[in-house]
Amino acid sequence: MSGYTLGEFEELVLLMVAAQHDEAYGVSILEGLEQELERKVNISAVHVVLKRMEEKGFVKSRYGGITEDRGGRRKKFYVITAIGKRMLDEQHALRNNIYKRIPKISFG
Amino acid sequence: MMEPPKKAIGFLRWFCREDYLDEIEGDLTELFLKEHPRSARAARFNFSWRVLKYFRPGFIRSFNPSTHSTGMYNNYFKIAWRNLIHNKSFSSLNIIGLSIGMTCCLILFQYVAFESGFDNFHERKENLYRVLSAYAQGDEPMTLGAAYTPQAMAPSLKAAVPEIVNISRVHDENAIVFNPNTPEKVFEEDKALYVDEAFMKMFTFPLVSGTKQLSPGTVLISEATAKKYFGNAPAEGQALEVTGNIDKTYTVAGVFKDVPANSHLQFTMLLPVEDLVKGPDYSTEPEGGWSWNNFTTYVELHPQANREAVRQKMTDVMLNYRAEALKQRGGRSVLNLQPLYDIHLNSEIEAAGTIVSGSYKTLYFFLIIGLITLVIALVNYINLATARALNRSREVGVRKAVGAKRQQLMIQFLYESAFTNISAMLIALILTFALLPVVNDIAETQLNVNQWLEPTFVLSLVGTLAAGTLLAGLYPAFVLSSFRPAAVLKGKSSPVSGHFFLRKGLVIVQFTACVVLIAGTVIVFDQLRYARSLDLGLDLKQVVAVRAPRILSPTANRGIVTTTFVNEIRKLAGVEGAAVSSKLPGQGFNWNGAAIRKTSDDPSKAIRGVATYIDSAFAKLYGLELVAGKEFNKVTIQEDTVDQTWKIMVNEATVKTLGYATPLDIVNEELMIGDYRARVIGVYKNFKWSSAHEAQQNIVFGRTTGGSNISVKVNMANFQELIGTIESKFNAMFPGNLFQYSFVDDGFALQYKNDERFAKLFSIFAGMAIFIACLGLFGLVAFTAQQRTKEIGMRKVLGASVSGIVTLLSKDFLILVLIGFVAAVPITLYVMNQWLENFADRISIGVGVFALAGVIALLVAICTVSWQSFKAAVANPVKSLRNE
Repeated sequence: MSGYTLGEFEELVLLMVAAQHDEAYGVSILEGLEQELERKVNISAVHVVLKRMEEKGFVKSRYGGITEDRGGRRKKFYVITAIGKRMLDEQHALRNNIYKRIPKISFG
Repeated sequence: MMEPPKKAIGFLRWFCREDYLDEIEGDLTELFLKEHPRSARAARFNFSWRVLKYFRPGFIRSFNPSTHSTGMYNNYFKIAWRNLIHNKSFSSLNIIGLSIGMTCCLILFQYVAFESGFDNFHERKENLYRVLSAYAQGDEPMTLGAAYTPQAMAPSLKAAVPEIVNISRVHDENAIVFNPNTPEKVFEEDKALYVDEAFMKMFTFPLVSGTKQLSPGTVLISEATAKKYFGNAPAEGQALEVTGNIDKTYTVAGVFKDVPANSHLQFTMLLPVEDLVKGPDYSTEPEGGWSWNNFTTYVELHPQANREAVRQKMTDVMLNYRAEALKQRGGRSVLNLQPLYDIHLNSEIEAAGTIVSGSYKTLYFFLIIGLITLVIALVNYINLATARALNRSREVGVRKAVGAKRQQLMIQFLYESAFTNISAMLIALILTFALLPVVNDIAETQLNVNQWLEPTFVLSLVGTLAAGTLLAGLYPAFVLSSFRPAAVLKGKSSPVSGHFFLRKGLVIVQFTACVVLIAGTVIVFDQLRYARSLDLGLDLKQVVAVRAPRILSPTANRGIVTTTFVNEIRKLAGVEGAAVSSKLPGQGFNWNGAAIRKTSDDPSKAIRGVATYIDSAFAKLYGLELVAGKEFNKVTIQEDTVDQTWKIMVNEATVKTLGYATPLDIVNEELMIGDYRARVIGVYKNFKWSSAHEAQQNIVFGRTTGGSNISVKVNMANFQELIGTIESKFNAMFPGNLFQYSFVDDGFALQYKNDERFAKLFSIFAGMAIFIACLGLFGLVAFTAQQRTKEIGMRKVLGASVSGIVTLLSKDFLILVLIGFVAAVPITLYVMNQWLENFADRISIGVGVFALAGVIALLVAICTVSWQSFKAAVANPVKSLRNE
């Protein structure tokens, strides 16, 4: 296991990047998160996390074409890398392992 | 309009990293466009708000200016530095001069900032005022008044004027205090204040512990005082015995932080004023407590109150009580409100003793002196920079030929001036830091480094730097950058000569300022010497003043016990005389502004006088000369109460002002002193009771046997032994009292303390200014000598004498000093006459002062100039003529 663990919000953003494969950019990630979480999310927070994860090598990015509805600015698409995927897998496995150990209790 | 806010986008584009901008601006715009249909306003707001959130380290681009311009500035810096190093002597002249000038300025700025920041710490300072009571006799014009008000005023005003939120009386008192657990340790608290409960609500004096409630029987003390009486034990609830005016046991209710130095009210102890006014003295006050102006009254007005309206209402309330009494005396009276910020610096207003007072005039005087020193230093810089312009002309020519614009050259030279100024400022800060204790010692101020953080100081520091850089740098920059490259590179023109007049003019200005300062110093010291050596008509030498006992047993008659004590002292060997009086020379009077008139005259014809009380031995002891009538009789009963048969002595001034032809005419005449009838029994020759600031007053002496001062004329041969004997007699007769004595002439000289302080500071800054001016002159002469090396060499070869060459080089400059001297005469006359107006007895400015100042300035200038000239004159001509 690598020394770095993902924070909660980082994990959510990374999951969203992975889920929206090759179509993930700032606004789409933001909207996806807001839909799932049912609460407002800061766009700047998303950007900060994306920059940090790009630096760590969990995601990589490319620019898209120019479209009119963004004031002539290009989109920046994010794709999860192999390291990023492994990070998610490890995190998921860790949770699953512990989750499985929960005795079968009925809270009926 | 489906466009995001322009300002926000502009801001984002300005600060955001180039490589992030596409993504961030794009995402924000997309969100904006999505939100826009729902609410345009919310979308615009959200956009701007989001932009702000990106204003943080990770997203802000680097703001380093482009490499091109850094190179330029590096070069400027390098050239400035090389110039500095290359001309070590001139640079150090500049920097030393500037740093001394700045040090003077900084110290004075700090002093001014401190003085003008008095009482700034009170939260309600905007609404706090001191009540001034003004009184005019007859046709006299109404003044602003003095801060003396009677005890009954505050309650009456509070009840009748709704705009008054809080009101407090303040009465300062010397209290004898001890902790009942340690009765052997008795202290005199000379800064005890009797105040109303509202006092602590109005003023911001933070508590350390306990409560601010000052109810009868409780006392508030300062942290230091608490330590003095109770050590480290908690002071609250402890008892303190307070004696003096009121004898009572008080419980400490609270401890407040020591009063800061920049408060005009200084106190160590607050006592409830109710105890004082219900005490034996004030409960018997006539006219319902409106008679004795022994209290200062402070009010807090409602923030919305109209000050003028309140003032009018207050005056009306006062007149309600006082109209009748005023009519009888033939006077008029109004009340005024003095804002808190004005109290410390307004020295025109008379007030009670514990108040720290400054003076606007002194402040302005020092501010101007500080600026003058700085200007003299800046002039040095201008002079040396333009004089040395020739040396820089090639550099300027080359720079211009390569393509430098004039503007760029000016910036370069301003850069150099800034460089010099900043170096000087750094040195000045260190010097100021080192000199603060010395200044505090001389000026009796409490300046410290913490005050450097105050905005006024920082502002003046930055202002000095900016002004210095611009004033010193602009002109040289202008001159140097104006050279025409073709001319200077050919080496033909000598651009310096044109500015010779300016330099001459500036040297004249410097020396004018110097002569004014020297002459000013001479005049200040002369006036002080004159004031001190003034024939008072009183002999204060060898007179020791012993404070009469404060505490007597209730059955004792003050007059009788004092007389007994004085008689005991008279018997001692070495005592040449002893007398009792209420006040001592130099201490003022008991009754200021007494209305005096002939019994037959209308009250409106009354003149203003002052009164105090003496005993029958007083005149002889102090050498008062009787010119008519007879002296007071020796009596043993207390007779300082005024009644039908009040007998008084007056001075010649009173005789004259009342319109009597000779002193004999007034003897046995009946006068009205205020509301009291009095008979004149004798007239003393005029004498000076107060300092030279005070004009001759109309003085009335009543008789007392129980005054608070006992003057003892002593033989100095065995003084220590004698004072010991007196002390043991005092302690035996008056147990529980503190024995205190002082020399009357020392006390009298204390009146000049402020003037002496002023003189000292004045002379120091004058000295500094002269030193800086000489540095400049030194530099100029050195430079001229250097320029004329070849000429001097030639002259010597052709047979010129050393003295001839010294004269040649010095003459020009000494003429400038002479012109400066001439210009200084009218300025000095004007300025110093203003200052001398503070004195009633003053010198007139004579020729001698200017002769002295001129000789000093000239001598200093000659020494400065001739040193360099001489060096140039004795140099071997072979050396100067060898090359070429």
